[in-house]
Amino acid sequence: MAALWSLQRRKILIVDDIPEMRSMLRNTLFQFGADNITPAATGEEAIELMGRQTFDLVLCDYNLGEGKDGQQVLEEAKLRNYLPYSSVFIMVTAENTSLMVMGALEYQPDEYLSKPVNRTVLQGRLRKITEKKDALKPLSKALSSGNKQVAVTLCQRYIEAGVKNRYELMKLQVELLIHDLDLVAAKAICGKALLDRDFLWANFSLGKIAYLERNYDDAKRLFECVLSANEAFVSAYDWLAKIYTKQGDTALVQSSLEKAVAWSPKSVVRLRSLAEASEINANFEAAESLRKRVLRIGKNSMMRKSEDFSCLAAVLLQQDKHGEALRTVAQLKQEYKGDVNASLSAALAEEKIFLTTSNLEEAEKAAKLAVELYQSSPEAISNETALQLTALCISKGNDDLAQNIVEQLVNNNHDDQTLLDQVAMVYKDAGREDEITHIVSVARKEMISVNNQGVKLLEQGALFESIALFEKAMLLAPHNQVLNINTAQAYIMAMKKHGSCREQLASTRACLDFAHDNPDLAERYKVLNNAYWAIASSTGQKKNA
Amino acid sequence: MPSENKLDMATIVASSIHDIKNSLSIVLNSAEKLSENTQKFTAEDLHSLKELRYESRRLNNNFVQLLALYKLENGLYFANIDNHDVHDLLEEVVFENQETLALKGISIAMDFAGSIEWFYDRELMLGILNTMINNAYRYAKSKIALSARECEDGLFIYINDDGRGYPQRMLGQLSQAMISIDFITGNTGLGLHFASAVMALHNNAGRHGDVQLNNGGALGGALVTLFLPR
Repeated sequence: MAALWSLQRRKILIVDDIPEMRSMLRNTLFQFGADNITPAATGEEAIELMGRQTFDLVLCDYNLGEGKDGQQVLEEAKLRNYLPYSSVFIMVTAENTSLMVMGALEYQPDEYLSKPVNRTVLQGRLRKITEKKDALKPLSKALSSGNKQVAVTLCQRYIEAGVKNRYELMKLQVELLIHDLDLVAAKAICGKALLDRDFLWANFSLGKIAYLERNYDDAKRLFECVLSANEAFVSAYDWLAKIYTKQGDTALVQSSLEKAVAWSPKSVVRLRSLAEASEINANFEAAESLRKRVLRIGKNSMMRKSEDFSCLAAVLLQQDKHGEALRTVAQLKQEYKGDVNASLSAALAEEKIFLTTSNLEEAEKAAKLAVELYQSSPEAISNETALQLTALCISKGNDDLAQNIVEQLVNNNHDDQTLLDQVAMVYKDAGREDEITHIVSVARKEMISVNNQGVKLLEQGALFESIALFEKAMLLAPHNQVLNINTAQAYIMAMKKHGSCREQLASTRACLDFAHDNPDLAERYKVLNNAYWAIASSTGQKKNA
Repeated sequence: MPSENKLDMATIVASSIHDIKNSLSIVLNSAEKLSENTQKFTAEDLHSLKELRYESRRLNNNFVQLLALYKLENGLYFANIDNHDVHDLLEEVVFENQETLALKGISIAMDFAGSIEWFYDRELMLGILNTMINNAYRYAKSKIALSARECEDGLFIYINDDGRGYPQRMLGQLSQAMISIDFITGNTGLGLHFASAVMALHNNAGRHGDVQLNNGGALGGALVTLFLPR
């Protein structure tokens, strides 16, 4: 059988900054029958190419010179869904021991290869990994269609059949189950794995599960246990920081994230969290340098957000660096032309800068622009920006608009206590606590009543009336998770009774996806998600028949 | 947590190694290409090719050891222990070394069928095994054999050759303390120090891995035994 294996017709991407290394690898792969090889010299180029077509095999050097490194390429490709489960990503490293840090990172390649790469060894590894992936084709299919439940069942079947990579599949099962908040099942698998070996991933996952169950003490103990075995396990620091955030210990949030950043200095998301923690602890100098690092490392990548500029401007303003703050806002406007949310946050930043430099005329202009931008498309505004705009409106005495914005925020997030607290804080800062309690409670009551009314209609069997009510409410509060799950339930009941159509299935899926990460809705999500897949698969079968 | 200085030094070392490894890759690849067509080579050419291949492999093994030991000393290394197929491991070592060994008239064989799954840091185990083969290259007459055996306590991996074996004073279980500066002098000593440090990293349920040096085995020469606890 050995002779039959070949890389023929597999789409292959080779990423290495050194031309000789690229051509050497390419020549070697040609000998294994490869006939579709694309070379890339930088991480940026690799990402662009992966966006245009799905590669079956990516061989990426870890060290790529100036720009992104191999780990960043892997992370971004995974986040952008450029790497389906069927694809193989191989990280090529010059030093075997660099793996120690990488081995503890959240995103793992399928395989590592260390240089110099021996031809026969490479052939053996490629063959094994491609055969392994080919054997798991049904699993790849379930994963790419988003059917997590079937994926979990398939993993179970492979594991019971005694496949070699069973621990890898158990880890995948745990990830899928945690995503769907099926915590009991996830815990059972971790427990099973731990009977065989003290797997760090299993203890780490148990920590995540404990966190989601709000057992913060257990979670903390588990993450600390992972770190005592491997202090480079950076995600454990991230989760410890989350726990400390919940417990309000801002100093520990900062020190945990500092440790994670020391081990893994290039993650934009983590640098951003550390910058936030530093700002909360009034370490503005540190925060400024972190914000700048975010902008530098996130350059030309999806990881960079318009908020990174406005946050830098804010921290500069804190330190009275007005000129630099204004230049940062100018850069923000330049890079995010036509983005309403970005333009609005730029206007808000300018208003503050001009106000502190007593340029009242310009400040007024900026404030006016901010309001206009909000009114042009309120749905495009992030919660963060909306909160800032509320504060501005209150300070300007524009109470009606402030109330409008708050109502929309509450409509979309009526059960998100953190956000409701933030809204209250904005009013409290303006010394108007009493009003907000009233505004929030009215808006909240309204949302609760719509939901209750719709559910009651469902119970009475008035499916169409219920759907009509929910759809109307969705126009006002498209991001409300409770409303989304209720709407999904109404759709599913209607489809069960009257048959399904593609459109309603898609709407149901969208509603469910919006509600999947809320622990309070986990049980309902699980039931409805199962019902969704039952309907979706029978619809598919009818179509095929 | 690494101090800033340690990480900086690690970065410098890592990027130098990266550069050196790229050069080594090209050197080794060129040597492999030369080996494909040796009909017109004189005996002297063949000897040079043999030296070129052996010495560049030795350089590579030394870099692997150097970096791993540096990181271990500075608390920058954590073993990446996962389950792997022992058969695949030994097979890779054969693949990696057979051509270089063949040039010196030494054959390498794997006396092990079937499949055993075990937990270890694959890259580090490859590092040890390649180093041990490189040692055997110098002393073996014509044969090197790799094998593995599972027992109640754990897994034994054997590297056996038909050379004159280790001197009497080196025999027995290697411990870090036993390996004096005097012992380390020379490539063999450094390699053994590396092996013993790495095997000690492999622990489970209170038991540690180790390295034993003996003479004998089926081939009658040096017999290195690596033990991985269950």
